[in-house]
Amino acid sequence: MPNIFFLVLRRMRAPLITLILIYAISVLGLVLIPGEDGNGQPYSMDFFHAFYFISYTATTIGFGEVPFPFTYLQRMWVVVCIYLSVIGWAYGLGTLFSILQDKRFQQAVLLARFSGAVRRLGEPFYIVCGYGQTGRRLCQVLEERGIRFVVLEPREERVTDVMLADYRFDVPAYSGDAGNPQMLQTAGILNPHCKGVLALTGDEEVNLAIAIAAYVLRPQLLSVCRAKSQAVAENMASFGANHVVNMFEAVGRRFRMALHAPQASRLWSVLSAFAGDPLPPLSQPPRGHWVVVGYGRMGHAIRAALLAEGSSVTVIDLSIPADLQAGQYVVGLGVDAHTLTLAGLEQAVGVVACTDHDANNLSAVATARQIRPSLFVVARQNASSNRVLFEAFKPDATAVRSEVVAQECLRAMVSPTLARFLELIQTRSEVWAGAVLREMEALCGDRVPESWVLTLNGQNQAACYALLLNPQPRLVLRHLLLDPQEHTLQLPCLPLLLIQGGEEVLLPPPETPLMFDARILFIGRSEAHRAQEAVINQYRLIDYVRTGVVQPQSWLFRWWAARRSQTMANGDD
Amino acid sequence: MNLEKVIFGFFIVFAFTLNFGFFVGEIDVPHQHDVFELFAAIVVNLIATVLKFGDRTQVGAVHLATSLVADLQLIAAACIWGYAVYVSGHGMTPGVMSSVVSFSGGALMANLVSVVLLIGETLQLRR
Repeated sequence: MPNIFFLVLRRMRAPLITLILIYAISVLGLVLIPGEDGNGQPYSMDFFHAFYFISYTATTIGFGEVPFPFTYLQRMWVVVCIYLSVIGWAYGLGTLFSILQDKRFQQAVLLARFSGAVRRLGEPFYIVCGYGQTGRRLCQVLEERGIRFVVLEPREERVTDVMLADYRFDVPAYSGDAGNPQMLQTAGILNPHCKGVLALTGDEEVNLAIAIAAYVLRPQLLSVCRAKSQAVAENMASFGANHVVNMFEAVGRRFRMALHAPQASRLWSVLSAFAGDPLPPLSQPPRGHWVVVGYGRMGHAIRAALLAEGSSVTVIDLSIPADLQAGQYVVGLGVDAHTLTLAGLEQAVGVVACTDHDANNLSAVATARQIRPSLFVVARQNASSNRVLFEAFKPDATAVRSEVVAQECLRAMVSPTLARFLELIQTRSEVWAGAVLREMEALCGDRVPESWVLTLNGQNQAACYALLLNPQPRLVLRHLLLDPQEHTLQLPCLPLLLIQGGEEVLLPPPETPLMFDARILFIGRSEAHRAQEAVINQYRLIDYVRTGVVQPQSWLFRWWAARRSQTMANGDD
Repeated sequence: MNLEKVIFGFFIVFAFTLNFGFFVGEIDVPHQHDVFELFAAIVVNLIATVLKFGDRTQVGAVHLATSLVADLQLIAAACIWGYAVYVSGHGMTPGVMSSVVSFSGGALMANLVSVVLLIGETLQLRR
């Protein structure tokens, strides 16, 4: 990293030496040339006055001739000095400005600022490579959760977007090639505070390069990579601890889950969604004949999901799909009634429009609905700017690429416990999932609740105190559900999963005793989260929720309380 | 032979010799210390400083530091001289002269370090 100041000085060497020489020659000339004082006596100027005169003449201030009026010879020399100094200053300032306006120099300044900002972060942060729709969505969510991040984006105008996005904290951003390991180092991949790298650029090769660099430089680092094709996804996955998000696979998996177990699928969507969004509705795709418009990667995934759940599928695509038999597909755009009817829409129960063109998707589902209003309609939304259109149209399900990828990323990053819970719900029955959903709705209404993990370990002093130092009365889960201001009130939260001592308890009962190093996944309102953080960090509060008695704080009152309990004990005898 | 190296060495040694030339003589006798020599020493020192800009090695940093020290000391000496002659009006008393010369002596030491660095650096390069 070149130091900008010295970079400038280095290129200013020639003009600076020129200026010094011009000043030296001018001053020396004035000192050597004989002059006259007021009385016509010979006088030779001293260095101080010569330097004074040249200083104000060279900077075009011009106080006149001091200390005595000049002789003709002196004036001739001064004329030379004036032109010399103007040349000197013009040369110096010209060089300086040309350096400052140099595109590469400005880039170097930006880079130096960026790397300085990353170095000064001093908090855990993520590196977000690629600030497209997905990157933006994810950055918003990270900001809401108070997690810092650094943005690397190849396109300059998007970096300007970061500056204008009005985040709560300064977001260091730089337009550079994220696939370059050196660039990643500048972005702080080796910084001990760096918690993970998110490769979300549109270019799969760049994402792969980021995955490799992250693995080689920091093997333990969490890296989440977006892949479009199976081959690259496998290549990325071969780098140890990486988490690969394949958007089309994720959509297919979710769709299959919705077909298979609608309640569990809704629970999954609620827990994957971002807190504060409207609660996703229950979607129950029916089984039967389906028409899939567009047979790209997402079309493949959805067709596979439908077939696996026992439905029949006809595909509409512009080109003849290589892997399908005649009769399984219709060639066409899929936006007109003719092709849709050919694909068997009259008998169909649902239609999926998943081309990579939003207008075509909308047009296809609109035509399909006209033919058969009872259809179950799934539409793919590509550009987040088209959200209004899709909302107005109200398909039964919308697959938004940036949302899907952002949710998958967030789950991988923020909470492995939540990811574990989502795995576990797939083993449970629909009735169970429905019951959890009802409790959740009772708790948080129609908005997605916040989810958080409480860990009782050495970082929470009150938890240490209550579990190790003073284990009576025994800390149970119920205590964490009480309001630390008023212990008869319940906090608006629901424990979903308790992991302790190698055991995983789904929906743990309130009287479960807690052990050191327990991890509990909660959902609920954020005030409950804040209250719980306070409880596990303050002795006073944890004793209050355990005993229901406000403990005396000061030495005097402690002494008084001890005395009183003693006298009461004596009185009992 | 490299012209840049010649110029670099020239200015460093020249700054040192001019500084030495001003410094030699009785410390408190004004006529043994020439004002032109001080002027030349300041100018050459400034040029030597600018020549050292932009070298990012450790030795380069020390080079620049010694030059900055020498500049500071010589300019301080010139300021004392100017103050004594024009502001206080006492002229060049032996006391003033000795402080001017001792300042230039300090600059001489800094220049000496600079020359030693130069020589050391040169000797390190095997031919």
